Amino acid sequence: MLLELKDLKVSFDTYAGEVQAVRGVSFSLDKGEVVALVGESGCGKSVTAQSVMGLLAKPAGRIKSGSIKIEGVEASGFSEKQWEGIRGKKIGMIFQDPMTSLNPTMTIGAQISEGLIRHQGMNKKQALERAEEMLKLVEIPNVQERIHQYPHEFSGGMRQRAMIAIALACNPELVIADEPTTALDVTIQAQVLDLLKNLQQKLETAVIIITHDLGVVASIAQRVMVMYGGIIVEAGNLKDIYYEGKHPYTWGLMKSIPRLDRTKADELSPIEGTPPDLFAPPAGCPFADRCDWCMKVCKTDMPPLHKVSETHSVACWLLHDGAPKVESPLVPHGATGARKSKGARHV
Amino acid sequence: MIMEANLKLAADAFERVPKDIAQSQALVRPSLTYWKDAWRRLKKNKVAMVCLVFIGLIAVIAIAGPIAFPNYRANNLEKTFAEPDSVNWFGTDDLGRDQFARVLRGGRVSLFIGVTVSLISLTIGIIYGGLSGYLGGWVDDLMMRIVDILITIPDMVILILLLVVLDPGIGTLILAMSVTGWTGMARLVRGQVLQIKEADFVLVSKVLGAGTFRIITRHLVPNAIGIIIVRLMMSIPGVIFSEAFLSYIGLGVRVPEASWGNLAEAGAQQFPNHLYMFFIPAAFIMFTMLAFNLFGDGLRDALDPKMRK
Amino acid sequence: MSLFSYIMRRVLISLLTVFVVVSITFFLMNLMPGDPFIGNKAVPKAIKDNLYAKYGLDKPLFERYLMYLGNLAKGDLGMSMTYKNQKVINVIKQAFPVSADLGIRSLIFGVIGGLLLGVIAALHHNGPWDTTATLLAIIGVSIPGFLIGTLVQYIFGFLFSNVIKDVFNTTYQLIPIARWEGFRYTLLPSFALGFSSLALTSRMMRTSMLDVLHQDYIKTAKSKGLTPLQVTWRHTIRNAILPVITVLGPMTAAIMTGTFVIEKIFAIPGLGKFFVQSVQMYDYTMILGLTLFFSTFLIFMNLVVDIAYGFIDPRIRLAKGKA
Repeated sequence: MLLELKDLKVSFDTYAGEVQAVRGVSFSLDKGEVVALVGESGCGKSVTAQSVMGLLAKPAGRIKSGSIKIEGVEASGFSEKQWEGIRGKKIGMIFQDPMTSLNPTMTIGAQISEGLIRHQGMNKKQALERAEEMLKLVEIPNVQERIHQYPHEFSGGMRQRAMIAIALACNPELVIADEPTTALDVTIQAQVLDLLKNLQQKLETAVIIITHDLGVVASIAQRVMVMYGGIIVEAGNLKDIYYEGKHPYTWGLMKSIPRLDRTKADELSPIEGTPPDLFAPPAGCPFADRCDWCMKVCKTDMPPLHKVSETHSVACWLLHDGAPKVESPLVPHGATGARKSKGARHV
Repeated sequence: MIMEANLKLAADAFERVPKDIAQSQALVRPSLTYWKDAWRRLKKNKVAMVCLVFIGLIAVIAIAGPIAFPNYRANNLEKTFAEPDSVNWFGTDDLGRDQFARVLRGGRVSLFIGVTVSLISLTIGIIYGGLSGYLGGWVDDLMMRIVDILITIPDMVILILLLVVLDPGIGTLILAMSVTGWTGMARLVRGQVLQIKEADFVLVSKVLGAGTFRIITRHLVPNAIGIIIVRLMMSIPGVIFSEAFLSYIGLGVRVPEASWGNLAEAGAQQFPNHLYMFFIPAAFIMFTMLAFNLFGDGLRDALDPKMRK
Repeated sequence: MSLFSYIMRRVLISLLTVFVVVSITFFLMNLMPGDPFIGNKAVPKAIKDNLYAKYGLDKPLFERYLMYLGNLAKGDLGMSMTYKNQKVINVIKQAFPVSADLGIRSLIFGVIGGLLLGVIAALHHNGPWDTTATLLAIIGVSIPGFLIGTLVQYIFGFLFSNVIKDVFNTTYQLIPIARWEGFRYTLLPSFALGFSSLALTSRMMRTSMLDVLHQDYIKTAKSKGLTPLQVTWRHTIRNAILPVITVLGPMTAAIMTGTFVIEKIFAIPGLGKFFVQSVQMYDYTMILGLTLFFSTFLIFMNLVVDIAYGFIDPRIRLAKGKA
């Protein structure tokens, strides 16, 4: 087991009080696996990722309880020194905005070399040679010249490629990609995503991809975890989520993907309302207020985790034996449609 | 994570409830207007509040002090260089003038110069910078090149030159300091105007058909005024500082008129004797500067929405 | 190529500024009320005409302006009116090195001290170091130079030396409070003159550091597993120091004007002291000459800082096709 989170709770102390950003997240990840964390902004995805990197903003952010195990070693109590040995070496990270994530006063080559010098004991020359290889790997043309350039001389897509090169430089076991394509142009998004997928297969690196875009998920992930209000509301493999989604929030997400084959019956529809403020999270299901199938119990009690199958679990009261049976509102062919649209993205 | 084991549920637990979008959109955090929020943050800053009280006190002294103790020019050759006592609280100077009355009068003059110069610079700066930013294009280019050149000329040099050339006096001092003081403000205002001109929310209100007047009153003023007030607060101590400096090299307010600067200078002339003559006015300058600077800092932090967590 | 055009642009603006200063100074001086040679005494007309001819004051204004520009080009700033047979340029040659020496010492003290303090304060944001630095910075910008000067003079010259006199029975001053005769003599004036620069630098550096610490690329640097020292040095300080470089220009100006009072207080034979004297004695040619010299010097320093900034910041150095 590469990574294992158990009931992770993370809070931020602000002037107004405690914001409970992550409220009990559990999942695990094997070597070479690709999972997606999906949800709206503010649902706790990025904070979960930051906890895994030991990068919570200090002193406001803290792990309240729960455990993070990296290769079987408990990491939630790691010292800064111990985290340094993990970051870049065992886990690499790709950030959302390539325009601001690279140091403007350092050459691209130097920025890739840094981690190598730190973790692999290379000297400057060796590190630069390896940086050159990395830039070739992420398909940047004219590497000899580009390696000595500064970020502002790179386009957005190229910068994100350089970020990928930085994250992968030390051959980490795991790469966390936090909204890696959100800040890019649509055409560039597909290229960067393809690159990420190819590299993942080539290097057999495990990847956690954080996104709000189910289209991105479909093209790369094997497993999907849907987060809402600081908890995982539904988790399963790609098929479970796309074909057999059980949580009303997952249905909502599916219905809000634009598709070419929509009929009048399942027209594109947004989820009304906004996610709860985690400054004062609701006692019951966080989605209750926006849910078309809301019941009394949803308002008062947190729904238990229901195992649908070996791979698929859902936290929703609708799956309780006492609850009325509800059919998915998604049109059956919808899932195949999602596949098609994913194909279309890459043309 | 709660497992689906033995949960006891009420009989009606699974009754349907309509969804409640309003609830989901209700703001849990208290919502405050910009100014209320700024005031709340300012009030929390104890240092800034102490400074505000101090500035208020100094203002009262500057206004009322000289009325209560008007004899700042009266010589008394019988009692020169007297140490502070029960009659002359701050002692007397080389001509036996009451230092307490002179410090009060000096406070009025110094603050008057500080506030007047700052306001004049502000007015010129707003007109010039606002026009430059609003007109844009080559006019803006030309106006800003002029400011570029003026800013490159060292202030103190122009100040000294003007004061040497023109008749000495408070009016000249104010004129000379205003001439050199407005350029920074002009740049600041122009920057604000440009930034707001290009801001998305202004574009939105333009698309919605808002007129120029509305854009200026609803968007430009509320957005720029915070920065401008802070700049004004920071400018006043700067001017008091300059006046003291000019007095020190003999170009400031002339005796028998009093200002904190020329009082400190007169004290320095006697140094190291009659230390009270130097340190009392110097302390007034220092604490006033401190109060303005610290309050300005606090105000800036309070008004900057980016500081809002 | 683009760096070249950037530099050319700066040089051009600077030259233009020098020209504007020269013209303003000249015409302002000629606006002066009264007559430089009359003063209190009544001077016979013949002598006055002679003096006018000697200083070229009998010619029309515009002709005098051209003459003045011509002389300037030759480096001739005219004769002092109060020092007999002293050329203004010679006074500068003699006194400026002293001022420059004092200024450089103060600048080094202020900048290095300020950078250190700013970095420490930002790294311990909201801690006791931060409070100390903030307090020192605010005091530094609030205390006029003459107060600091007089204060340290009082402390070392009187309080401290009285103690030494009592204990060691000697009047020897380890840290002298006046004149300019060796390293020991430079300590107090450099401190007094550099203190406000220290305050300003530490304040700027602190703000700049805090700003950079919130940037995404710092997160990237941390995600590489770099040590805190590496993150701080290679990523934070290197970026935070850039905006601080831009205040070196105005800071030089502040230090230069500061020499006016500091040299007076510490009896240092620098150019600032001459300037204050000439102002007090209405030595017009001297004021004119020194004003021009100071302005040109400052404009030149600003130019140097701008160009240095261009070389250091790759975004300016390598900007393509941007004016």
